[in-house]
Amino acid sequence: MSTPAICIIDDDESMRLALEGLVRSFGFSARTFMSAEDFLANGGDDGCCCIITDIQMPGLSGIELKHRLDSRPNPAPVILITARSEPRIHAQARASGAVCLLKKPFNADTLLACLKKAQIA
Amino acid sequence: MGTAGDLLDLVQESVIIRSSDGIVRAWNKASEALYGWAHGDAEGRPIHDLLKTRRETIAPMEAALRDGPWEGDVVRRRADGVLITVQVKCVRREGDIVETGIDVSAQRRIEDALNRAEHRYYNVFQAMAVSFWELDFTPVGAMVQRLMRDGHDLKRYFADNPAFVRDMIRATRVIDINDQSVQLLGRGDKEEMLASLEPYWPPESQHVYAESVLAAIAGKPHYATETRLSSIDGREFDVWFTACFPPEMLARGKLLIGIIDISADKKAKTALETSERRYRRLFHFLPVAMVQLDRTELGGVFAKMKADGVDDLLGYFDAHPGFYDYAANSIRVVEANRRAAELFSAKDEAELIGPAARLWSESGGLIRQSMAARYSGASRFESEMKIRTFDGQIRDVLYVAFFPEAFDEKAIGLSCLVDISDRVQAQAMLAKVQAEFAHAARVSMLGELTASIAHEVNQPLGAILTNGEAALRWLSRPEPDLTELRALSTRTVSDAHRAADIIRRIRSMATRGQPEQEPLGLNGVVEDVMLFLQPELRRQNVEAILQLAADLPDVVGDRVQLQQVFANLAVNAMHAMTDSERHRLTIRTFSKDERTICAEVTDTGPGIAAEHMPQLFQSFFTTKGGGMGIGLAICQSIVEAHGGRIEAENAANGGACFRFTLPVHTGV
Repeated sequence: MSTPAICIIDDDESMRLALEGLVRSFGFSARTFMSAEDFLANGGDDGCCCIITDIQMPGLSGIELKHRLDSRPNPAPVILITARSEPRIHAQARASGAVCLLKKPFNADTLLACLKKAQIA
Repeated sequence: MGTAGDLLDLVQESVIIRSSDGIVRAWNKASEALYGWAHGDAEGRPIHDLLKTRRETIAPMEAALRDGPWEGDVVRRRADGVLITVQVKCVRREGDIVETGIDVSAQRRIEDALNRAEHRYYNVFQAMAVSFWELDFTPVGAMVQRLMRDGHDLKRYFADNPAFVRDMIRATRVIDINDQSVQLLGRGDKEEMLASLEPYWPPESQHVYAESVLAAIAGKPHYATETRLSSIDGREFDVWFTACFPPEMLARGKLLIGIIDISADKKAKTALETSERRYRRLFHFLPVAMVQLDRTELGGVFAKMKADGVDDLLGYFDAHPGFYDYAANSIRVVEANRRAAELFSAKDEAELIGPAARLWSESGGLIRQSMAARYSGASRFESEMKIRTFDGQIRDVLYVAFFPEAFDEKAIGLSCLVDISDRVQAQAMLAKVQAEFAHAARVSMLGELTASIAHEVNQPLGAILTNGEAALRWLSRPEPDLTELRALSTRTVSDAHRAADIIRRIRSMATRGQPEQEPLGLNGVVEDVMLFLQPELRRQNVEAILQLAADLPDVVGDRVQLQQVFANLAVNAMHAMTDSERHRLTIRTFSKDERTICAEVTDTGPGIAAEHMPQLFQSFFTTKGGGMGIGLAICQSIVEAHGGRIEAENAANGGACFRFTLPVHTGV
């Protein structure tokens, strides 16, 4: 694990692949997972410099994953993304201590700004 | 001859001397007076020609005179044309005939009239459906005279001495009776009945006999009353009893009584009174407002109009303004019950009596229709309508007018009014709540729909956007990575397809997932919907016309969804007609060809604007103020899900016409 990678978790395959492409176009390396469970089981937090995760997923939600990771030493910064617009979900996301909450669809620059905020870029 | 003529002139009666072949030889002054001919005109002429002796008299008269004298009445005509009856006596004298004559016309007329009167009396006596009795009460007269001589007050004496009255009855003799009497009171033998009056007179009717005696003595011409009499073998019945006291008969101790059997009438009358009483009680105490209407005057007017060939009363009302007012005012309320007074907030029932028009002031149109129904021979009319009470409130009532045949000749009508204000109010409230609820449900459904649309569509949109951004970044590198770009473009295309798929899925979700599939008749679906829409149709005053083809083949589909299509189209039609003059909704079903059936919903609204036509079936397109614009889109989804097509056009009359097809059920 030479260069730390940005880990992308989204159950929606096309979104997952699109994000990976975008992140690589920024010049980062990227690893993708189809669920929070998949990420945890395959040692995803190993060598992850930043986690971009969808909120609504089968099984663990992105917010629950963030809470789970917070109990570990030196957790990687988390960027939450969602297609939903309910205010309740947005409030939970902000309260979770995530670096950013991005509403799909979002611009590449917005993501880049979040990565900067997470001191990755 | 002259001397003989002079001599004859001294005679008071008419004397004519003539030859045996009838030529007048002498004619005295009295003959001139009797027949009006001067002797100069009469002498030398045939007597029967001159006097127009009635033909049938001549032959017997002349035949008799060949042998001897003749006498008899002869009808002749005077010189002035008047017919007279002459009592003639003829004798032969030396080959001539001497005829004397006396005018008996007046006498004969009286006799004739008398005969006729007697004949008439006899006929009446025998033939009338009345039992006539001729009684001899000479012995009774003697009994009464004795009492009067002794200074008794007859009235009191009769009351105190029933046995005496009985004796009077027993002493009264039956002299003659007619056939009716034998039938009514006898056993078929008239002779048996020509005896005492007693058997026919039950004790409880004795006072009637006593009173008729008193009436006769008081000089009254007759006495009549209702009483009970008995037949000779003891069967009692009710009769109308009349005793006549013509003075000339009374003088001979005779009197005439007439008896009419009224037992059947009385029974009928009692029954009638009972049923009348029952009807009154019913009328007055029924917990439903009722008024009884008298349209005698109008009945006459209508009968004349009918005779004049007026068939269409409503048309006649239109052509004769003011006639309705006259007609309505000529109908009178003649009776009203307590509940009616309460309904109209009247002081009492009497306040409702009078012209009926003021009770219907709010609903003239319906009363026109009611009159037209009566005019066309209907036996009842029923409708909801509004009334204004005497203290100014408006109430909704169910109005039912009966025109019972039994009351026809009395021109009586009965009207029933049921207060349904509360019900109508409750219905209106319910309809409003329902409408609000339906709206709220639509809005909340749309809210949910938006959330899922947002979520589902934002996924692929997000991916497309992200791919696009990545592609741009790869492109802006000094050496664009074509492999990356190809992969990104491929994914963008597939995500765009996915977005379109999602939209399609959501639309089918809006039409409730998997439809039930069953063979069903489209006409039944229409009828269900009409049932459901009836209150709304009535409220908006829309006339619904169903033209449903008989023997329409079944379709396969979801009953509820197809109901939704008709309901949606019908509700749209109703809304479209709100500001129109005519409110007519027509639903047609028919076979288009052997594999397709067709349904049409047509209104009389303003039609569809040309610029709206292309977007009509798109979601969220609406021309209605509060419309959501999903009704027609849902209709289209449903129809297409059933394998049919829906289209809209403007109808010939300018309204909108929505037409959809469905495939015929081809069997398993």
